[in-house]
Amino acid sequence: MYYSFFVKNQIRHHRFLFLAGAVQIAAAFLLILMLFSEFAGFFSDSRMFAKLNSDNYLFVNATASRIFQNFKKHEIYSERYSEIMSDLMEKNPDMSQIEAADKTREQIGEDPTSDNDIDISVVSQTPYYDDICMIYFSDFYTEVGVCIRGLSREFANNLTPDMRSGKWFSKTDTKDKNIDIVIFKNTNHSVGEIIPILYSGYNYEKQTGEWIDTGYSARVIGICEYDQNCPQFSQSSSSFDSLTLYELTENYGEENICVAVNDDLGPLIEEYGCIEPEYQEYMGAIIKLNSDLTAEQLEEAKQFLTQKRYSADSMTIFYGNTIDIERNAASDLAVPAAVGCCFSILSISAISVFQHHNSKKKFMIYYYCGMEYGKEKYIHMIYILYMTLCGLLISIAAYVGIGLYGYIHRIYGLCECGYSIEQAQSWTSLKDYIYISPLSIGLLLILALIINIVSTLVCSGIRRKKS
Amino acid sequence: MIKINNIVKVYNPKKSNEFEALHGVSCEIADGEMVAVIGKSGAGKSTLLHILACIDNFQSGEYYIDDTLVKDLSEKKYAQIRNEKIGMVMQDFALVEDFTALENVMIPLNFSKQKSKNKKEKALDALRSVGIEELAKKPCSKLSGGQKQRVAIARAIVNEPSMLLADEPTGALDTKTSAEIMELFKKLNSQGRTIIIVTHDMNVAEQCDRVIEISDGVIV
Ligand SMILES: Nc1ncnc2c1ncn2[C@@H]1O[C@H](COP(=O)(O)OP(=O)(O)O)[C@@H](O)[C@H]1O
Ligand SMILES: [Mg+2]
Repeated sequence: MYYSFFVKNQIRHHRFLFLAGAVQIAAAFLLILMLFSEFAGFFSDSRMFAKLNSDNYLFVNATASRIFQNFKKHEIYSERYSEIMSDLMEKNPDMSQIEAADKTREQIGEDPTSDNDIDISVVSQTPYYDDICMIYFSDFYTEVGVCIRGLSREFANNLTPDMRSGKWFSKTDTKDKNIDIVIFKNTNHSVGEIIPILYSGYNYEKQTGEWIDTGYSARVIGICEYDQNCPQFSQSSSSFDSLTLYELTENYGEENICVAVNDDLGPLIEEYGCIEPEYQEYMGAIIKLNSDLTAEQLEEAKQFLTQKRYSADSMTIFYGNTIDIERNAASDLAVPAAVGCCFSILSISAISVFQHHNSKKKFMIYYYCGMEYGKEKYIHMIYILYMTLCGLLISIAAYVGIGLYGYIHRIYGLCECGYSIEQAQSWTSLKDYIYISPLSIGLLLILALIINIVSTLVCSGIRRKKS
Repeated sequence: MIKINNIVKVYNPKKSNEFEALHGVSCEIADGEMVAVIGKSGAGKSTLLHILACIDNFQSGEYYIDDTLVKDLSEKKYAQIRNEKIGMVMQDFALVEDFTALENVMIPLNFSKQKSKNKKEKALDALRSVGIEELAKKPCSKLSGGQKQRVAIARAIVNEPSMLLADEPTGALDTKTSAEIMELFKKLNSQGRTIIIVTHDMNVAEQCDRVIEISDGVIV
């Protein structure tokens, strides 16, 4: 192709101009790349809860007065506990602390309020009660610090998180001896991986916590999208007054979050007896009522819960609020994004027009020397195409650079917190920081082509005669 | 041999600024001739030259190059004629200022239908024949007027066209340099090229075989 001679020379003799154009294009592309990765995660919370957006799902949480009451009970219990225990130890100096503790519990029973604020025995008495959506923390771990959370079957069936690979739990999953898990915030696992399950129990003899290999294994069946939050009913003071699902999801982003269906953990629970809901810290739950209830019946159910000092609100309210918040966040970003994109496209077109204008005399000379009339468009187009491709490379390099910086920053941060560099690396996948989807690259290329064609069309051709 | 017959050229036809620059110009120039076209400013010399160079069209009349009628051809064909049969030299040199001398001379080779592998060699040969081979790597913006015109002539002859068209080639040069450029044209003419030089410098015209005078769009 003869174009290459002209394009090459044009670039060679005006390197700075070429580079300046490429950098400007790169800036626009970088903006678009970043917005693109940002937008992909938008509305993921509401998407995940979409199936629960129905009147017969109620979000139930303990009211402040119930929590206070429990707190009081706990205080009274603790006082009595230490009273009896010190009494025992005074009377029997040979008695070990563990023995004394056991004896004390024998006398006054377990702490009635160890942590649970949702008392299933109460909540399940709600009129028209059908099922409950909960998430439990278990004492089973896939690695130190990463516990497997158990989802009630109803919850697992109705959540629809964005998956990056693999799939979410389904009723038809074939069960083998491995326990199916799905990973949120994945940093170091892949679908199909088998991970040994550890148990962390407090060893009274050794007075230490100990990690025991349970002999059971988890099989990763799915990995959620990077920015998909894991649902968790938090009871921090900030979420008391917040009626959104958004607040119910968490995004620590620090390490893997593994979830399993609680029922699947059955054999483990039997063996180690430690994931009884009563013993878990859980806060809040979504209860499912029978479908097709009348307004009066719904009111009746809510009334019951209110009497038991639970707040009870239709999931439709939470869902609506979540959408609201997500929409606000999206439009906050969408307006500057749209303006930015338009501005970038315009400025790139301006570069193109400017370059074309600058080259008019040159094109006229080419024409004298035997270039077909109108072919200067292609020379210009190829020149701008090179510039755009160069811009694309710069923007990808910058994107990777920013990702790399984020990655190193995080590893460094974790090391500062006292983790070893190996640990930090195992929690952090470079892929999470430098993730460029083929889709976004494809989109950029299409955009580049549009810019190229439009800007070339905007440039008028050379005039046939030297004026 | 080129032959024009009753060429009429109207600028901006059917517009308020319509202007008839040539009113039926006819002439014949034989192969190997060196012809000067003279006339006052605005007479239509450049217009005629542009028509001969196939960079401008005309309203009526005929134009033959070697007995082929040059009218209503495809854009491709015109480009090929400009590239292969005609070499243009302009008063303002019409060089790409930021290209080197060599790159400027290589421009026509890159539009040529004949694929030549040794474009660089050919361009260097052309530069050698105008006596500035040593300036090949210099950007044109760094050359003097005389040197620039030599580059332009090298570019005009690099594809070995039978005809050289020059529009006031010495107009921007001092007397001494002008004389050198004229020597060069004469040398090229002696090698068998047809040369048509538009000028209003009588010194230049005197050195040609024949003088054609244009006044207000007609040959006198
Ligand atoms: N592009 C154009 N549009 C309109 N008129 C033109 C154009 N080019 C030249 N003319 C007019 O045509 C006449 C001849 O111009 P030209 O051939 O350039 O004269 P010269 O003999 O000085 O080279 C002049 O009167 C000029 O004003
Ligand atoms: Mg003129």
